[in-house]
Amino acid sequence: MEKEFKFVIKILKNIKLSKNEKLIMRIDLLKQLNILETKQKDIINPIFNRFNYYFQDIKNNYFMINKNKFVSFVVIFILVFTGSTSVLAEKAIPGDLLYGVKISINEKIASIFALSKEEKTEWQERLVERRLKEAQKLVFNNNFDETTRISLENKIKNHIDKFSSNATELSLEKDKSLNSSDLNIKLQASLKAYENVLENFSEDVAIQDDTKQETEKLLVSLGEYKDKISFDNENLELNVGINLENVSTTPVVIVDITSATTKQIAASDLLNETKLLYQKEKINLSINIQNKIDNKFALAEINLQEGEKLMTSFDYVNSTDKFQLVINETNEAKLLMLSNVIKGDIEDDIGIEDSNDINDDDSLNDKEGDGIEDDIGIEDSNDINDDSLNDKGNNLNIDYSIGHFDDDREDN
Amino acid sequence: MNAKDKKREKLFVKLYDTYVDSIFRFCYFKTGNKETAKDLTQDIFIKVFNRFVKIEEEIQNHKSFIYTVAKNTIIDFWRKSKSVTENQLPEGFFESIIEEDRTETMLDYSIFLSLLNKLSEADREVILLRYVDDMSSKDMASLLNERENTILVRISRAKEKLRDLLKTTENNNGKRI
Repeated sequence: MEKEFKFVIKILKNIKLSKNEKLIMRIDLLKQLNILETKQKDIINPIFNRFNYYFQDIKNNYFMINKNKFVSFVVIFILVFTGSTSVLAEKAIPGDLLYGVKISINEKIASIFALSKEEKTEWQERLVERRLKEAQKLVFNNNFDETTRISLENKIKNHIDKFSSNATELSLEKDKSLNSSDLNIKLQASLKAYENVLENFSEDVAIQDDTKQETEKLLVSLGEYKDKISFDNENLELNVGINLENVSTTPVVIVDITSATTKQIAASDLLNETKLLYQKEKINLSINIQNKIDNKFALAEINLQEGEKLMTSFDYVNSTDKFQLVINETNEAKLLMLSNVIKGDIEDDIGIEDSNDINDDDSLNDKEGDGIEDDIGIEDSNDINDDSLNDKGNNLNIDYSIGHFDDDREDN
Repeated sequence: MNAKDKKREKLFVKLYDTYVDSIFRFCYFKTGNKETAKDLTQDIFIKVFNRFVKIEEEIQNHKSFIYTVAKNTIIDFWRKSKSVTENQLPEGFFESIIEEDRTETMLDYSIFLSLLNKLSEADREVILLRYVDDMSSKDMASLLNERENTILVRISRAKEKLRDLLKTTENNNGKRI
């Protein structure tokens, strides 16, 4: 009887709110108690509000659930309004007759459907991917000349600039900071993946000298773009989990509680979501990469726990730093995972197989020094080292700078 | 914000972190609905803070104070709520707690958990406060407005009833739980 009784009591004691539920409730409580600044109420016309609700609902349900649905809708739209030529143009690459249709009609029409800042940022990210795919096809076809390279480089640069300014604006919007950083990681992953694939192409003896030369020049440019995007992300990551509206008006101690708690939620959410994504993609990753990602997650978990411990002793400043490290480490894991997944997809598309992984050893080793090392220790001469990530996490005092804005925003 | 406010706020956050689970559980066992329990928990802590501002010096025992606020908030909730009978937990409430972990061993214990449904509200209350919330008989006496000795007797009787129910269940099922 006693044994059963104790066991049941244990079960009953386990009934509790989840960590996130408790944190959210704590923030709500502090807000309601006027300790925190109350949220500004939206003063929006109720009719517009209702219309906006239905519109967002339709958009979320039918277009933005995944890329395929969105693309399908755009293709149907294009088919209805511009005919089958535009649909055929989707596969065109520079030099093809229909390439102009793809750029000037298809992509312009598709950009109309990117209404919010988040969708505009995502659309610019996808445009960069489309240009990279075109470059990869041209190199693969041994048909990559100087004019095409310069044209593609200019387009990619243009999209990246627009992406960059949109992402910075997005990160300052309430509850959108995580999305902006997430899109940045996706873009970094695409750039890394295509860079890796193109690098392997350029080493291929069957590639003509002209193409090889232009590919190498493109790779230099891609390296610069990648550094820029990676640098941008340092600021975007700092904005994750920060409600910037409150910072200027709330008393200092409250900001500490708020920033620490919201940072904690953001870090914990990001870690959980990334782990979930990892479970889906794990099968597509090599053991080496899986081990590296596992180590990064372990490091993130440790910092999360340390941050939570510091919270209980009211050390909000240091706990916020710890949660920031969780965000940085989780994003590193995500970048490593996505770049290798995208690389695999590209190789599947063109029917080649390359056993080399995209690594980022340096960035892990220089951070924190908590002693979680890669226990596999495989040295790969083809590693892609991401130096820009090296100092992240230990340098948390970067100003929030808003990137430059292009006056010419024809398709964002 | 002055030093006193800061101190009070820190204490409030500490109390919240310490008691939020117990208070949520307390509300959950009283209402049988998770969302309602969450809302009530939030209301309770708002009330706790507001009373803190007014009568901080008078509060001797924080745990007992928070539970008293919780008890009164739940009484108010039932008073305002017209569609539900007070303290009537949904049928199979305690068994449902174990639903999420449906291993064979756990299912054996669900029979035992179901016995909690068969106890009267008063008996269940003392069992939960004493053994799940680890409340002392003194604090329970203060919360339930009874003498400590009375509480000890109530705990003992409730446990005895639980034993009887267990024996009956054993006899009916012909197996040991």
